Amino acid sequence: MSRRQQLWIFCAISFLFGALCFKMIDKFHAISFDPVFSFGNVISSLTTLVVAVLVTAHLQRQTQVDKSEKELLLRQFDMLFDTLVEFEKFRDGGVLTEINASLKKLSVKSKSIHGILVELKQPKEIITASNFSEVIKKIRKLATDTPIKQIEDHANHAECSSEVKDGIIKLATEKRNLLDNKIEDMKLQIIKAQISLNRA
Amino acid sequence: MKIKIASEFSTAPGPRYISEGKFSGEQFRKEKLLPKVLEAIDKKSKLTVDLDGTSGYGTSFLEESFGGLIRMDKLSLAILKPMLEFISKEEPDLIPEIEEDMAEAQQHEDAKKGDAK
Repeated sequence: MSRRQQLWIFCAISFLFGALCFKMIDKFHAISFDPVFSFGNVISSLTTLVVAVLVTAHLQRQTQVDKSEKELLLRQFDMLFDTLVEFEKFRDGGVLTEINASLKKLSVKSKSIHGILVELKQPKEIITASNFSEVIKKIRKLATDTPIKQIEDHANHAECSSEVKDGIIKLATEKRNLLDNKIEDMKLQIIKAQISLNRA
Repeated sequence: MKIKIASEFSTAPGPRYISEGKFSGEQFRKEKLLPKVLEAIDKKSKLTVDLDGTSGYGTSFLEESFGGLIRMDKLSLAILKPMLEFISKEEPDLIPEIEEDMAEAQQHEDAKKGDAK
């Protein structure tokens, strides 16, 4: 159905409703109008009108603020996603201090988004969905952990451990695969948080 | 007593061992952390470790620094836990990670002692 047709149907229904109301009033005389308007009536009507305009304006402003906040937060999530994509270049390893810096950026950004959502008193499901602490901890461990020489079980797993030489870490294949999975998990979590926020 | 890693050691902490690269956890523990810890134990005072201001930490650096106090320097968690305090406004999640590392190191030490008996 086109918009034009919808408009016609709306007008027809409004006309019928108006006519019906007129008939009812005319028949039952349930409602009568005083043809004389006092100064008090005028003031009362104007006050009602002003209040209605103010309430509408306030509600519109509030809706606008909520919309802007939501857009701002969604942009923050996009930025977090971009930071994670930036980190992906270290999936095989790299300069350890650069990896640490990239992880810190990821951690600080995710913490600040989470903090803002808590401060804005967003619904619990959104706050839970935006908590990336656990996944970042796992990513940090996979990307920067190296074996302890003195501990036997670490040494036994040495073939699947990462190596560091001159401050450059080379991730073992097993860790690389696990890291890829964790990065994908976090991407998914960001998207889910964005969807929850968008629906709220 | 207080130790700030960024100003007293490095703004870019590195790997686990000295042999693996510059500004390692092992170097930090041996040169900066252990002397301060021993001094704090001696004076019966608390030692606050400020983690803020660096470009970030790797898991191995933190484990070697703090877990290493138990594994390598044979200090017990019972002594360290009440005397060490951590500040990390930038990455507060690092604090429970360090505490976990120290608890695991103590578990390994206890297991080693159990095996020796």
